[in-house]
Amino acid sequence: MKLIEDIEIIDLGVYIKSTKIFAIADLHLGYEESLNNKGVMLPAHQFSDIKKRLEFIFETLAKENKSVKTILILGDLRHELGSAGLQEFRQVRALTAYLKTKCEKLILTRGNHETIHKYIEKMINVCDNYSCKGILFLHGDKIPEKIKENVIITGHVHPAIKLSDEFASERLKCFIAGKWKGKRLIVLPSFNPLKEGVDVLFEKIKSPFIKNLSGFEVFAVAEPGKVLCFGKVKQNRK
Amino acid sequence: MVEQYNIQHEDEEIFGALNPLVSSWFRQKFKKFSPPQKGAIINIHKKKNTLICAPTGSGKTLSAFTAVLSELMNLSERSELEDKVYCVYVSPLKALNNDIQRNLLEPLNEIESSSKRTHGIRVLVRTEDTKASQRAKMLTSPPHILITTPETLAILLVAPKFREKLRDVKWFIVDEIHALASGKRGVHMSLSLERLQNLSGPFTRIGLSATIAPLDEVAQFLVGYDNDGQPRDCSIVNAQFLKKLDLKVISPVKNIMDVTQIELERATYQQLHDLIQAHKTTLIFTNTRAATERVVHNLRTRFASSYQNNIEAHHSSLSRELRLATEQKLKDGLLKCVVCSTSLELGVDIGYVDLVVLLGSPKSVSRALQRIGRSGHRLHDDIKGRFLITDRDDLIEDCLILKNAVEKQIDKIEISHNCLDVLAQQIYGIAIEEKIHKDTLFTTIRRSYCYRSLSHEDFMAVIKYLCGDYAELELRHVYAKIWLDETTGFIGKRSKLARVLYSTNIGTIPDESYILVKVGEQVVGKIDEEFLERMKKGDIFVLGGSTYRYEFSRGMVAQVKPAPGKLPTIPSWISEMLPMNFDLAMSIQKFRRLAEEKFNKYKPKEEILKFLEEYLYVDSNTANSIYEYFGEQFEYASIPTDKKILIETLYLENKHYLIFHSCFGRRVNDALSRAFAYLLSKFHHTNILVAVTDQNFYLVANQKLNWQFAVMQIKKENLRKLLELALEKTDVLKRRFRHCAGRALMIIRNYKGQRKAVGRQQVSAQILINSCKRISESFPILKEARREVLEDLMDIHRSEMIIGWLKNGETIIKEVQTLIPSPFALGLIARSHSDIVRGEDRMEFIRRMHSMVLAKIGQKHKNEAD
Repeated sequence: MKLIEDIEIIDLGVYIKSTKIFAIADLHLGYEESLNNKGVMLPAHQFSDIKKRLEFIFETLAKENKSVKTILILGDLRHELGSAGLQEFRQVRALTAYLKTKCEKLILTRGNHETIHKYIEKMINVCDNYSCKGILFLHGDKIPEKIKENVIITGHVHPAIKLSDEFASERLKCFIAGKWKGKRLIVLPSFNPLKEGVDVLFEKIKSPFIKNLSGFEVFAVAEPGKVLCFGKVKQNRK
Repeated sequence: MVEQYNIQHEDEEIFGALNPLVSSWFRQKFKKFSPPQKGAIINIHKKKNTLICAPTGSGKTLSAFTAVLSELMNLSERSELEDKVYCVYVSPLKALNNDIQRNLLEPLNEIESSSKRTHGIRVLVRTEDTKASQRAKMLTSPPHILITTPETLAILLVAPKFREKLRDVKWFIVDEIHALASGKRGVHMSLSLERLQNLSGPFTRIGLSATIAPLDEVAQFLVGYDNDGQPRDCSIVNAQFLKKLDLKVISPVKNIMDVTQIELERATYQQLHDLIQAHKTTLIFTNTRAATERVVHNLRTRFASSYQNNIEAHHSSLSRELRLATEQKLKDGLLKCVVCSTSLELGVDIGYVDLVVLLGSPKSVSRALQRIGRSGHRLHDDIKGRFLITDRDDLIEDCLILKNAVEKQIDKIEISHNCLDVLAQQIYGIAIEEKIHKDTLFTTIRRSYCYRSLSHEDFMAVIKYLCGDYAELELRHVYAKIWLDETTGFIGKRSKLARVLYSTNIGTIPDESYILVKVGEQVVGKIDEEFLERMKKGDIFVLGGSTYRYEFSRGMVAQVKPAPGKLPTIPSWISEMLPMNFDLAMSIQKFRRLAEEKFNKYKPKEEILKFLEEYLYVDSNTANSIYEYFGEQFEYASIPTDKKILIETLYLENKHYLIFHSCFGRRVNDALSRAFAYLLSKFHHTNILVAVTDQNFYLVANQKLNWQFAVMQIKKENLRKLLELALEKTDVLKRRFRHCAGRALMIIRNYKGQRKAVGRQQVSAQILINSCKRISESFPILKEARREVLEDLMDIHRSEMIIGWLKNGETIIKEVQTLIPSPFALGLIARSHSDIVRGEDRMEFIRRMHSMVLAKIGQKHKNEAD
């Protein structure tokens, strides 16, 4: 689904046609390990789920003749704020290796979970933000000093929309698109299967870019590859 | 073999059998033995397992302990008393422990001062509150009588030094066994007993119980089976009907059908006031916290000059200090009246109470008798209880409880079997104790009454789970709690931290993860996370008796605004109320049938009233209210009975209601309603809301539901499958799964020095469930969550039996169409708790929600882009 002329939603990521950039956000590798450390002995399925989802995405891109030059990960590739666990380390290594086979350039914009990342820098280029032809890519936990670009794409928020009636309730990951200081702002959903996300309708979201969500448009990912536009947040709030 | 022990030994025979010092102390103090003592002391003296069932104040504690004290005194006199534990006493209530210690120290001290000789018998309490210094002291001078809780016992079994003191236990006493037997705490304890037996060899088991049925089963639960699978012996000393019962149902008004709420309340409080004033100390049970506060508040404001400092509330949400202060005041005779939810049902000595008032149905005969038994604390006092009617459903329930109590028809409790979560926890504990062969382990487990029928397959599934078999090999060390050596068959603990992890996470009481509900900064209560997930802005829900409007949530806090007088849009799905006992429910249905027969024959009012008064032992006001209530139902619709389920179809506010008048108790109705809803949701391809009470349930949908189809499809044989399918995505399964995962230590609340409730914030229950399903549909924790919902929360076995009645025509279905709910259906909506059975799958639901939004914003074209 096209967001604006050059930017298209492909499943849980965005594709920029003119620059052949594909971006995803918030993978939180090692999340299960972190849950284990908190005492939740959840069996580990996350990595294989992420990998399958990426394979699906690259197949889709190939089918639509969308070649990828650069893959951007908009922060929080890893979950643990402190030192890395073995599970995380192996997963980061395997994932970056896999992604490098799919592009020429693999870049991570620093997230708030990338505090200690010496080992990551050996596997992936890390920068605070990445600018390309009028679009600024960054994690989105803080606002950089000067922004010249007219379009900003971030992660960090983990947006989701909770649909509910008197009978049922489902949470769907979603993109939200709106304005920040006259510029276009697009927020990506979390790529992590265990993180369902924060409801943009009624839960409080944390982003320095967003004061009021009501004018933001919602694009929900109902199932792999299936994106539905739900109009503006305020239209869903009543 | 379990058998009734009806011999009442003569006083002199008992005095003669006991140690002379104990004997003369007893004679001086009490002169003679009470009936439970006459039955039990000699039996225990002969080291026979004994279950003693007797009311409070009948000398129950000493009936268990006298033979023990006597034997210990003998040892002391012969200077043979060693530094080890001879007797373990376990009670479910920590509060009871200090009382028991005091009650044992009293004879010991008095014997000491009269004999002028130190006997050196130590009685000590050990709970999770026991300080480290005291614990250390217990190693050098261990108690001869150890007073503890089921959880602390399990911890002691893995304590390397203290367990050495448990190698020669002679007696094991379980107090309040009626409160333990029917829950997972009891299941847990039954295994701890077998663990202890492995350590110390056989010991005499003694159970103490208030009124309970069936006694045979509770006795078997106490003693279990031997290694060959033969039931161990147990004598039952039954003195439960020792005291005279003085029970009455009181209707505050002549016709409960014909008064306003205000009039009824005024009359009720007046009646309550009169009762309190006519007695020295009154104890009132209200069932819920909110009602407790309400009653205290009303008495204080309506009769300000009578109640100020002499009335107190007592419920589990009050701080421990406040509760203890109230109990102390009660013992000191400073209170005229105490109002409690259920919290004073058990245990602690509450001193002189001469009247118990039950406001709101206690839902079972045995519970009613336990509550009422809190009055008349001395042996020859009568037990005096009054059921004060507050609404029409309670009216019938209370009358039948009274009838059954008077006729000594005690309803039966149920003991859970083969709980795999408790099993996992206990196997972990056993593995920590020492290496054990898996066959020995299996035999040990099957000695417990609760695991008699455990299959080897389930046993091995739990072992595999504990071995971390569900994780990839290289990560297994993270998940594995035990190892199994396939060649030798031995099992052992895996980590050095195992003992700490086990000891800090033990128990069966679930660690709930709650959302705090706030109005501004003020906390008004707690709700479940899964309940919150269902709510959207503007929904009205009930919490603690008041209605609130949901605004938004952040983290673990939900913000609400008070919405007084609004109807809830989301009925609460967990009921604060206890479910009605099945036997009681059936006696209500039988009574309905007998009453209906009278109405059917158009008997004159006088004759029906006479029948009601005689059958139910009630006064004329109460009989009259029942006459009016049943009369309206009879004329407006039909009276449902044990032979006839009434289905009422109703169209209200654009919704189609199907009301089943099926008074089988909530555990059966929970099951039946979901099975019917599941069939109909598939048939009509629609979502159905289900709401359940003890007396009926209803299904609501946006279209007319074809109940005949569901009745035709449902079978005894497919009920379990239907329910498993219906439960798949329900809140109730998610909630119970979380509890089971906690008990089985898959979600560990105290881990690596952190105490943290892992909530939805971190990972939703649905993700946890899905993740387990990917391992196997019969992953033990998943299997246990389903079993707990179907067998403990619901009652699948009796539900199957009822489906059987429908099929063979023993019970028929009659349909009536009504324009407004019939009298029996009123209150259903307010009192019910509910759940959703979904006919749509996830994508269908999303599509429907999507097209609704599109229609609203008129942006249909946006869809095309996709």
